[in-house]
Amino acid sequence: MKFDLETVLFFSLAVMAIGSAIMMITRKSPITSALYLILNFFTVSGLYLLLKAQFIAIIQVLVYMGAIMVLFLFVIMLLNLQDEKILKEKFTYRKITAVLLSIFLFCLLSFTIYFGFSGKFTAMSDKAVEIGTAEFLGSELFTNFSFPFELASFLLLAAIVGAVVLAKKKFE
Amino acid sequence: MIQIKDLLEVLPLLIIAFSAIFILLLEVSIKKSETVIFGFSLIAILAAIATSFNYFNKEMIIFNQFLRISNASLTFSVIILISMLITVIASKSYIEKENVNFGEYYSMLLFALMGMMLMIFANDILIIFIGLELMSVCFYVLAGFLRLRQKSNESALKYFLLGAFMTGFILYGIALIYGITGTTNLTLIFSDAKVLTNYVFIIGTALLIIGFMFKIGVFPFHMWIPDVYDGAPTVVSGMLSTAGKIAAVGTILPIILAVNILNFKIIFSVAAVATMLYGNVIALAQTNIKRLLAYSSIASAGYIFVGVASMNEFALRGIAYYLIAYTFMQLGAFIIVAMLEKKDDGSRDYKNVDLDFYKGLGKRNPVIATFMTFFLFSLAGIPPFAGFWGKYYLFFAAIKSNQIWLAVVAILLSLIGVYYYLKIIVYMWFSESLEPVSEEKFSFSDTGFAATVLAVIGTILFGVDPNLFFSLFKFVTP
Repeated sequence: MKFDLETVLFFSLAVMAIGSAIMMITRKSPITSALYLILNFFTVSGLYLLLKAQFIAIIQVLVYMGAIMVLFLFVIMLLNLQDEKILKEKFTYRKITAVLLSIFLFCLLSFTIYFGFSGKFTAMSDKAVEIGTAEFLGSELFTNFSFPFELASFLLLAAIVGAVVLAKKKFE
Repeated sequence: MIQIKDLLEVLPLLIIAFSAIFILLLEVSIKKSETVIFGFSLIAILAAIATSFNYFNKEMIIFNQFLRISNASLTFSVIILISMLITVIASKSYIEKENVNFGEYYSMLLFALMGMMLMIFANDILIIFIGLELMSVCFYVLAGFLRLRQKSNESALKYFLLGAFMTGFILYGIALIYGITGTTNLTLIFSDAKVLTNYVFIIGTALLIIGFMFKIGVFPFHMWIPDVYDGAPTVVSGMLSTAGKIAAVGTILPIILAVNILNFKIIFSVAAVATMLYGNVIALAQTNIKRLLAYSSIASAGYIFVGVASMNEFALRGIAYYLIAYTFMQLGAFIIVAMLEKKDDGSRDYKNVDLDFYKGLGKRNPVIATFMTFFLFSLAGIPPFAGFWGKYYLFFAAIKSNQIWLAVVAILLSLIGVYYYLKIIVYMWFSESLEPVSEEKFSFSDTGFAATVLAVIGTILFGVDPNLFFSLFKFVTP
């Protein structure tokens, strides 16, 4: 195995990802575990960068850490989840589902990793690598896909206007 | 790349898009701008209708293959524009009455209109999705526009949650279609005959169709309709039940016809029968007129699906005809309900929407009662009105595709519908008024009245001369 910067970065990010994931599910305070989840997302976006998928890395930071996690934190703060016992009573049914789902996920992941190491999945072609870059996406968005790109701005404008009307407009 | 000449090929869409934004600018730059904005949006929609007729018989694929202009899509878009025109006219007095006279209301209507036109003109699933979301976002806002009224908030929240959920179905369907074909372009997708029989593609298409069935309100995806239409501002309910449904039908129908999976035929037939049965039977028990009209709109979705299930060249004609008739009669009925509604007094629920209120309306207000009678007769499918021909062409399409049983069942189920439409008519003309006769003050300067007159003209015109429609929209007789 080569011992270059990429390998060092990969392993440090991987260790951080696993570590923050474990910390997240073991913390008692919901806010602390939400913060560890943010750290986890951050390391995963670093892994995407190593795979030369810049766009996905940026989207991971923007969407997951920026938008979804802020929502999580708001919900946690608004609900004021402190007493774990009340929550625990409702958990038995969900626990079974959670265990089944995690077994399923484990099988799926181990299947993928097994075939990944046995060489049945070949490495990505150069073109596939190229698609993930911000440069490629930018040029596609402003040439071939300029029409839907402009339309998306209409959608966002309508959503903003709607939200402002519903939330901010003064009523006499 | 976008070329300047492409922009001239979609003038109706361009007019609507720019006026939606321009209204926002007008709102901030002029004081007391509501009337100006009302006039401006009327002119914009009229201009869009006028320019639409330039493009008939000129099939074009433009904007880097993202949009496709054809006679069918133009027909649906003109029907939507007409429905929006009537909605805008009726809205003015309604939002004044409800104390929500804001310019943004018209902007939201035009943004929704733009989304609907995009969906209909789309030649790419991406555009369909963006158009659908643009339309839905505006609908959620419009349904909750009476912010101080709990019922309106409830309606918006229910619509938003269910709508967002069904968007997931549509996206999943799109993902599967993209995964199997490698493209989102509809022309390319339909050109590959091998793909059309692939089961992953069929599942994707089915998910897409399910999402649209939700928007149209077909059984078993209809449960949001009564609650949403009941709670939304009444004019908006009328718009949701006409323009919203037309957009969804106009988008999915060409896809269904192009994919032409014959196994879907029986599914559509069963869905149509279940929808008609559900809508008509539950409507019998309603005491609130907005809910009654909501159930009647579910039943209408069933009739539309009788046409969809026939999947032949007559389906498009029948559905288009039914939709234009439906626009006039359903929207007209909702606008009359909106006009008779009591002024906002800060209460939770809408006032004067019970069926009991309509007892003796004929004595209190004969003009309105006459118009309402026209709309209800048309909805029931009684001959001199447009609704009759709408049903006639739909059931004709079903018979032509060898589904005589479906046509027979549809006619029997629409007979149930006649009962509750006639019940309102009997209430209006032959029952004693529960309200004092002189109390009601009604002015003919109400813009709702102008909208109703337009709807009445449409209902009668297309009822008396059905060929007018086919010559207007350049339908070739098959």
